Amino acid sequence: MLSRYRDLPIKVKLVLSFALTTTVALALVTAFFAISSWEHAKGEAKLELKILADVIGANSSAALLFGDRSAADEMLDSLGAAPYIELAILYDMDGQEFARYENPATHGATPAGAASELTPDISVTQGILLGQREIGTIVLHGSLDTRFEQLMDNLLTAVIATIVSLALALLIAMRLQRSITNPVQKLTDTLHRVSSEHDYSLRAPINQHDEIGVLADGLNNMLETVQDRDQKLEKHSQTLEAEVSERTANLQEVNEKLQSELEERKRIETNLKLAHEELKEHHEQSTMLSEMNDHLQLCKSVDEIGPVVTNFIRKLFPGWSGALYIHHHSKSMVEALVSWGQSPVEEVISPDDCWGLRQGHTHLVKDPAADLICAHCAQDIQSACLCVPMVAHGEILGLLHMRMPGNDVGPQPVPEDYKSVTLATAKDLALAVSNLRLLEALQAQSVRDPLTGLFNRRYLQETLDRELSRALRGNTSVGVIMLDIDHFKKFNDDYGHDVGDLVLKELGVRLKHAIRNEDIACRYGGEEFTIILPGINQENALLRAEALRQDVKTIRFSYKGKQINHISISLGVALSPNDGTESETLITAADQALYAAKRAGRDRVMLAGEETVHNNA
Amino acid sequence: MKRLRCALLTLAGLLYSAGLLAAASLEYEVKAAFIYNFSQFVEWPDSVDSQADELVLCVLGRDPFGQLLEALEGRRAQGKTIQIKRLRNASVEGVCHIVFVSQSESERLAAHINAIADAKGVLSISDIEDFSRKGGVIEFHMVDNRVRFKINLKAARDANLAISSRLLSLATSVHE
Repeated sequence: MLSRYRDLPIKVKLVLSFALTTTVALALVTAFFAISSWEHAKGEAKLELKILADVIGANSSAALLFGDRSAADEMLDSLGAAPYIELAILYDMDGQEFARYENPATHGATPAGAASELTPDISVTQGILLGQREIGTIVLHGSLDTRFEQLMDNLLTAVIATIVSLALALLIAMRLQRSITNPVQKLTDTLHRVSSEHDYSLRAPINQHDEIGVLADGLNNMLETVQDRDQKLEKHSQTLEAEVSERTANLQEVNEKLQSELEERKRIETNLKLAHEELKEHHEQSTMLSEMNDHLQLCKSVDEIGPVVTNFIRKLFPGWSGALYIHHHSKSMVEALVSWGQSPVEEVISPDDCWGLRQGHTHLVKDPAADLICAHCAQDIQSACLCVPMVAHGEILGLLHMRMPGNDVGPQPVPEDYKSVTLATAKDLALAVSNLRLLEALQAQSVRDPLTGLFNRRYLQETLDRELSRALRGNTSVGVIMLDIDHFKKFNDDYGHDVGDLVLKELGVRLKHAIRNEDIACRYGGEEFTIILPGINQENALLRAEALRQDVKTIRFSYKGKQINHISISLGVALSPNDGTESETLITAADQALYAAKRAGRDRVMLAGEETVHNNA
Repeated sequence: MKRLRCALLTLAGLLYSAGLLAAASLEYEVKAAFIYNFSQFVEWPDSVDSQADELVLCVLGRDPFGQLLEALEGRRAQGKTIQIKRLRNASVEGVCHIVFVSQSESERLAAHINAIADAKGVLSISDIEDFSRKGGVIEFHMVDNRVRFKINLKAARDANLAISSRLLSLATSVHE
């Protein structure tokens, strides 16, 4: 209800509130008027009644005094002129009813109409005085009906007047409200236009000095402020735009600078990357070198380092050629252990043929056309090369010969890092060779017989076990030859132990030469020797034994200028798996065959288990 | 209460009167009361003892009231105390305000009326027949056994007495 009122247009609100106010005011006035009229009427009626009572009292005093009832009745009858008097009673001094008047219009009839019920009767009781003596009492009863009817008439008139004046007031209010609502409407219209058109140059067309005028002025001022701000903003935005474009240009300049800087940086970065790669390469080289070193450490003989070196050199020096030479003291020459690359190298060179070996330090050939070239590579050399002697503990152990890959452009100088790597490799190799030499010497001392240089009995035992198990796996056979110098004791006695040693030594040399690479010759003890022949059959074993017997016979000894008698040997041959699969049984079998040969007259070959002489001579 | 006391007093008075005056009729009792009442509706001229604080009621001739009038003595009327006097002759001037002429004076009535009229300012009352016609002011007479009165207004006027219209309205007849 209230919210609906709130949303009404001001026009309606004004008229409504005016109408309400007026109605309330008029109703209140009417009510007050009615109430006061009624009270006034009552008061008036009472006063009138009182006056009447006074008059009647005064006029009937004599009648009372003289007990003249008819006079009193006559007096009371005069009340007929006042129709609202309903009852009048006159009492004498003793309180006895003296005279009575009853309105003939109302008397006897039942109370007539609603008015008589609604309105109370009024009554007055008044003493009648004569001088100072009270000679009786008069009681008057009046009805207010007439007054009430009069009041009602008046009220009706007032209500009609109220309605008429309300209508008139409304008409005037409707007229007058325009003076308030029209400016408000104008204000609202202006606001609507401003908000819909976003045109802040609009002004509210109001020229008055009341609150609406103040409001309109306020709005206009506000609009002016907004317009002003708008213009300023636009101006500012233009400035800003110019500034932005200027800044953009600056930024572009800076950006270009930055770009060039960036390119510079990129270039530096590339260089750095190159350097890094170089470093990485260097690192890789170092890594590889150390790896090679690790592998070299694992090698058990000088011969084994060959493949290791080839492998790593190919990685370290792609495209290079060269060879690793090992120095042999006994032969006073250097022999190529391995070689690599396209360019062919000499297999064996004399130390005098190499400037490197001669000087004892690196010989570098930058340009084969201009520099001094070693004899061992005099032919077909077209590129730079290096001869690095491998030196350890002041001893020359070999030579690392390196050739750069040839190309169409002509000889190129050896890159510094390659040179250093070559030197490092040579140094490492020298150390490795030295160590291996030492190791070999130590091993030779423990597995070889120092007099003959052949393997000793302990080694024999290990090797035979290994070969037997391998043969068992490969389903092949292992041959064992036991041999003994005939009458060696007598020989010793005749010529002395020095000659005996000499004989043993010479026999060892012969045995070494006579056997295949895979065969193993050992000094079993004293003048007894053993040869292990892996993968041989019986026939070949016997042939080999026989060949050996005959070869020994050809040995000629001379000691202190004296010719010494030739020697002969007896041999026993046993073969796995026929004569045994264990090293012990096989050796025993071969030994028994040897003794059988001895018993049979010496200088012969006997096959184990046959006890027959195999003599092809 | 007041009214009750008045009633009791009146009753006591009546009993007393009845006791004392067995012969006195109820008629004279009423007449006595009427006489007292008349005093209240009549205005005496200023010349007559206006300063005096007594209202003198004279009885001319043989007193028919007995002791009834004694009851009126000392009562107040028009601010004055009532006095009772009994007269042998009509020498009322300067003595009486009201004169009641008894039946006994019927023979000498004319002389009395003249004397009283000459006195001026004296209210004459009598129950002698034709009293008012003969020049008396108020005359008692009986109507249906009720005491009524006639008034000679001319006589009153001649005596310089003003009689209230209220009294006049009660009179059975008023002479001009």
